[in-house]
Amino acid sequence: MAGLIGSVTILASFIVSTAIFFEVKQAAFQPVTITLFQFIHAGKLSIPFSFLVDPLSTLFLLIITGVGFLIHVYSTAYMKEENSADYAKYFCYLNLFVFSMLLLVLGANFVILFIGWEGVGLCSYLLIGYWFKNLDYGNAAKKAFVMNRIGDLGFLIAIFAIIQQFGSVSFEEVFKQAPTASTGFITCVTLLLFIGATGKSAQIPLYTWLPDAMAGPTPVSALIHAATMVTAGIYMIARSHVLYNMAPVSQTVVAITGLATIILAALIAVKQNDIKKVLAYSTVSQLGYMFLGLGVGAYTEAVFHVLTHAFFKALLFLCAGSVIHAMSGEQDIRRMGGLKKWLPITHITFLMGCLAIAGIPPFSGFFSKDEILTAAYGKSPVYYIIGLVGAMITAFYMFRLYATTFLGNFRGTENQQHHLHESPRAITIPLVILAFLAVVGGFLGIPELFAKNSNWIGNFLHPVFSGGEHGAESIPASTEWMLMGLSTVLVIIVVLYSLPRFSKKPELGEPVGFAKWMADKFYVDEFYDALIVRPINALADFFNRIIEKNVIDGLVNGTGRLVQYSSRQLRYLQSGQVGGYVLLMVIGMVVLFVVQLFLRK
Amino acid sequence: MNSIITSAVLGVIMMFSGIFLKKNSSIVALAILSILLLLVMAAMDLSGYHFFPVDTHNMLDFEPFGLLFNCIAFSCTLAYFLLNGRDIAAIGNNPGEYFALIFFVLCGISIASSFSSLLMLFIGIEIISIPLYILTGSDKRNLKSNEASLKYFLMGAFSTGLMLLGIAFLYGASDKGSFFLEDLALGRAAGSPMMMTGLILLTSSMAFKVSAAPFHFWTPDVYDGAPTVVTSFMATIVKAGAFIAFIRLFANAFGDIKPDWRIFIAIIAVCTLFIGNITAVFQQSVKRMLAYSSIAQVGFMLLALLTLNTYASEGIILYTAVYSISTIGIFAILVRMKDFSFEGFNGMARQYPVVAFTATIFLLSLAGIPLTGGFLAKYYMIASVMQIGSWLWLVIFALLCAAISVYYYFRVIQAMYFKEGVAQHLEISPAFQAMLILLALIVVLLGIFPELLINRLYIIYV
Amino acid sequence: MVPVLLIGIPLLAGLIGFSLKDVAAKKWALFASLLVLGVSITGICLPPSSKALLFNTPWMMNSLGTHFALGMDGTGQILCLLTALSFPIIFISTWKEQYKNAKNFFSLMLLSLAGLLGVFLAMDALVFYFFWELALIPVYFLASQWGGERRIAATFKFFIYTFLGSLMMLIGIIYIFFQTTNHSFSLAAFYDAHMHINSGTQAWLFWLIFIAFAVKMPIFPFHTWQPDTYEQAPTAVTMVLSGLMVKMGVFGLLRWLAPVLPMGTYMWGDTVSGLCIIGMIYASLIAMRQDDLKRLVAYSSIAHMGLMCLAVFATTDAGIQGVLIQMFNHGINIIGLWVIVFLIEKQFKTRKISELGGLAGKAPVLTTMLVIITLANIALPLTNAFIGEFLMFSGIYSSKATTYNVVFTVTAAITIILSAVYMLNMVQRVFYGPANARTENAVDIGLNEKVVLGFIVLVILILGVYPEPAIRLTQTAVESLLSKMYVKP
Repeated sequence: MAGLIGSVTILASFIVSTAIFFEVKQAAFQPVTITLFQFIHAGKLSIPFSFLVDPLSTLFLLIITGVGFLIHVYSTAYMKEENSADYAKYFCYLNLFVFSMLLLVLGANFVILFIGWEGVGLCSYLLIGYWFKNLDYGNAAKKAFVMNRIGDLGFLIAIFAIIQQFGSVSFEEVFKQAPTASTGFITCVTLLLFIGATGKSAQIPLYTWLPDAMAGPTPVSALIHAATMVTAGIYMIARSHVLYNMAPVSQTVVAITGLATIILAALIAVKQNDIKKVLAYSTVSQLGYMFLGLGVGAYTEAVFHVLTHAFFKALLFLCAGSVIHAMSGEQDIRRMGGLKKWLPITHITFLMGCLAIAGIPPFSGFFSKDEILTAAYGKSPVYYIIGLVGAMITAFYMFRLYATTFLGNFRGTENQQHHLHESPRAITIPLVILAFLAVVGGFLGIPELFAKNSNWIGNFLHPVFSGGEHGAESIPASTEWMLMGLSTVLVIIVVLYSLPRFSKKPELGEPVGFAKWMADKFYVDEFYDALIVRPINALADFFNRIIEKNVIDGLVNGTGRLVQYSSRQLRYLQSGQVGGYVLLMVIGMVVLFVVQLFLRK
Repeated sequence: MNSIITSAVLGVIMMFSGIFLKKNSSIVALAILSILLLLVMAAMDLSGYHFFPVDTHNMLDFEPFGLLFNCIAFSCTLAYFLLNGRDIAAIGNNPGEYFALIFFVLCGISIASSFSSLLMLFIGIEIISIPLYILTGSDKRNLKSNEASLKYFLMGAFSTGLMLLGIAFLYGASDKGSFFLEDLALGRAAGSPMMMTGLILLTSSMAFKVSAAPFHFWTPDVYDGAPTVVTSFMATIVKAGAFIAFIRLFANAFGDIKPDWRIFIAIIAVCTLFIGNITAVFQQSVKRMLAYSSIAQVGFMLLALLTLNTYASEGIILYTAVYSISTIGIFAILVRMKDFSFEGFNGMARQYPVVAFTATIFLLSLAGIPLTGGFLAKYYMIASVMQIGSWLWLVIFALLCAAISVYYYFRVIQAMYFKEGVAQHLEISPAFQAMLILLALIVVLLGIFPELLINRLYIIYV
Repeated sequence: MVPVLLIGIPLLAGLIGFSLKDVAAKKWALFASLLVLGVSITGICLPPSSKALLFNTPWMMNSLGTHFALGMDGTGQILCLLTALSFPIIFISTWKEQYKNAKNFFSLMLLSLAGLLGVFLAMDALVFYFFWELALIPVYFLASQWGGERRIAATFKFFIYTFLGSLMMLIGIIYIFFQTTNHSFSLAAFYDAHMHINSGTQAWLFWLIFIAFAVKMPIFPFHTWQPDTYEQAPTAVTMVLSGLMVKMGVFGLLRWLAPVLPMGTYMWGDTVSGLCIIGMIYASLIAMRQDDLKRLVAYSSIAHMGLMCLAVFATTDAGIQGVLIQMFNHGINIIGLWVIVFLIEKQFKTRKISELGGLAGKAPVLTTMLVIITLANIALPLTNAFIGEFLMFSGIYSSKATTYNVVFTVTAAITIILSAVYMLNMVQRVFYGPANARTENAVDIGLNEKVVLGFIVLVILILGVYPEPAIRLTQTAVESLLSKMYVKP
């Protein structure tokens, strides 16, 4: 029941979004801002609760509601075992998430954007910790929330800076006034915003929460931690591309962070054995590509990659879910193998996903990723090469995953083998749809050099990013062909190498040497723990035990004790001897006389 | 004049009452009637009906301030009798005399409250002191009482000597060679070493009488040794009377040369506040604690002496009234108790809610919590110092001490309300409780409408 | 007339209450508090210019020159509303609690209500001081009679601490009184007094008065009374203390210090702000290590109050607007937290976080309520606290009163992260995870708790989505306050 309501509502909003989309598609369309009511205002500052509809937000609307709907449907089957209350809770959270996400992309100013931003963070927290009885899941949820908060801090401060500088937070106003501000200021703001983005979109240094977030139910991982929420950072930067174009320094930082993340995450993914973990790290690294795109000013390409990535990554996760479902909860690929015999549909769709993400033409990933790489080349060949290496590693680990899971022969227990079965319709249908999209999605953005303005998405987003793009155009077609060919060839080689290798003898033993480092995620978590978490706890303990109890409270109580003490001492003046009293009185008078004497001077 | 003569006569009557009246209760009744009469006379005096046109050659000068104080002192005595009359009579086997002595003290007070010549001051103070020596020792069979009496007498004699010496110096210093206050600090005499010597000596002896540090040492021992009822009288009415004399002396004699002597008063005030409050903290017996608290309160009153402005005169009237009432209230309860330790009060709130409640009011007033007279009294003192400015440190010091005082006053409240325990048995009559409630009401009333009392200062009949 | 009713009703009701039966007292108190709520709502609905909101009669005129002057303006209004709203909530939520000689308990509660309202309504410095103390006394008696085992020492420390502070304030008040033209205690006269007080004097005068408010709020390092007192006091009293009495500090700062001594406030702005920030981070860190629910909430409250104080010294319209709103929101939220702590302690006989766990499975409603209130406490958007904190932070950032505005904002904002850490820790360790022996057969909350918490959650969400009413209520107050405070040109 709850599932039905949940899915239907999302379907409804998907229909609405499509309607909006056709509205926006008209050439004559101008971006519209709808103001609901005055949200916050103090003095001159006024923040309305208003929405902005333009090609960019519309595109995201479609992604969110479309993929969201499919995943809702998928969930109705996937979460069947849950008891009704939790089942309802699950869909309630899921819908709340979609709500927040829509708020995020529709917000017409930074504050509304921020509200959605925090909202999705909250939902991800709630959904990661959905199985609250397991404390590790709870920790994962907390980690996700806190790390996001660190990023949000940057975002918030950026907003305050913007308020102070421009006295407004609405995109329109801010971007209009942006040229008046100094480059230094813009750079600071953009960097702060970027910090926020790294938190939400799991980039270095704040990416470590995403793999842990896989504790949540698989559909959640698909929707939140692959398709939509994690792309919020990309949306935010794309939205404020005006500012970034004015701050080359920030752009470089974005690009380099993206590159670093691509490589790091990809390397880690190579040695992971948990099917979801692999996908998680691949998400991180794909997000890296998007940031690379943003960094080199190829906003359209970045958004395009968001789109295609939403398709194939959601697909891959849902397949993974289907596999886990079939394996009755098993996630370790070393205990799988040869599943294509039992899960034909899942197998095929998963393969599509792999081809797409690996960037094999003509699958969707090829177009989007390649356009980003080309743009990167336009900025600097180094970017391109690193990106290309990343792409090769991606292909490698994806097909390692594919081969280990679906090819070879089954390595699980009898019991599991006995249970193996293809998933129900509600699961497979979304898979098929997504697979289809993952295959054809790329044709939305066919590069210029294939056919003149066939780049539909480019034209669609042109009004938003007009004047935004650099790089991509500046390189000659021949080079572009060459780059494209090169990357394709290399990737295909990698695929051909890894497919047989892992289907024959999948690596089951414990990794050693550098592989061990990769398997253990380069000990980044441990590093953070030692560098930040433990010192803070130690400091807190120190405050709690020493400073608070002994120093500050000690001072307070000390004063009291001092009074007590002096009281005990003064008592001895009261000797009870008349002679003593008289003596003291005389001394007292003498003192008075002496004072008198000095006063005379 | 009314009160002086009436109190003297009544004293004599009370002295012989023992011969005619055998029953204590009747003697107490008589005492209450006579104090009522005395109060009426004083009130008449204040309202301008002077029955005894005696020419005092300006040795006495009856002005509202003094007369009003007489009324306060007498009404406090009335309350004191109503609460503790029985206990006074029960001190020893000749009750009439105790009342007689008390009336003589009152006579002394009414002289000390309106003297305008050093001679009268001396007489007044002595008339106050000598009966007290006897009263202190009135519990004959009790060694502590006798010891206290002797101590008090010895040191009292010492201070009397000081006072005489001081008076002599002042007399010698004054141009005209006169004892009249207004002649003392004029012309060459003003601030001359000789005069200052006299002033210091006089100050010391007066400080002794009001038990201000470092001349306070007799107080704890004597208050502790004397029968509790007597302590109650000494700590409140007598002390207040002596203080009024102190104020009169400085206001009328040295009012014009304040800068010369303020520092002394400041020193004495600081010592008194400090020693009084600090030492009170550690006391284990409530009676002794109250002795020290009375010292501490004097420390606050001394601020009025320091400034001698309108705030001071209004404030000191309020202060003496509120302080006396509150302290009499506490002592009245204490008199009925066997065990004076703080633990003695444990769990009183449950057994005797009324007593505990009124006691709390009195203690809050002594601690100077708003809505009780005690707060406004202290407030006036502070305000008077703030008005003359440049003594801020003294104010801060005084208030720090006030904060300390909260500590020991609240220990009693905590014992009564928050500590478990079985309260000792007190025989409490409804009338007694009613009286306590009345006093508590007065304390609160003065805390909200002080002008009820203070405005009397400005109504002058001719 | 309204102010007199506001103070008079609880005062009389309290005095009458002492003579009632224990059972009747509870209903009586609730009735009286609801009456007060009604009056305060009327007061807010009346136009600001209305005569009914003012009351003024000479009092102790002969030499003290004071008027018994009351008034209900924007700053006071929102706090009166909070106070009037809180008491019924407190009474209903702790309805099941059995106090021995309850009549005294509820009467004292009503007296403290009167005192609090008096503080927020006073338009005369001496009257303000009177009520300032009067609010304290009943709470002292309540805490040390019905509190935990270490109550006497803890509350006595609290009493002496605050009493000392307010004595210093008294000196300050009297000093200003003597500087006013034609010696008067009236608020207006005080607002003009600063023209006769040179900045040097304002510098030290500031501290005399500020110390009282600093202790009340409390500002680091004057805070050590708070955790002990909160821990020892009965929860109903803790709600009064943390929801309302701490606001007295901020309120005093806003009405009786910042506008009265603009220069002093300006001069010490950075110092105090520094203390606030140290306190915020310090308290948040300590909160992370607390195992006792009450202490945890106490320390988190210290952090929040620090932020409010910081925002006051920023002297920007956004900042002050934020403070006024946040005072209300914080009051509601923290009372909500206390209600939950109360329910937990009542059911499981412990406040130790380490001894609880897994409630979510057993008491879903309670959990939902708690999660929402927790999120409000860490200022998540669309909860009321977000509005306040957002305004305050943006005010601090754009402050012209200090040159360190950015540093202040950034360092203070760290507590946003820390608060998330300790609050979520608490939620997780108390409500998530497997149930233990103690929480095995936990039951969900009853109807009246549902009502109370539901109401609180409703307020949280409504004011979080549509804060307009609160903002409009306080707007004028902000302008008038700001016009009196000193901001560098």
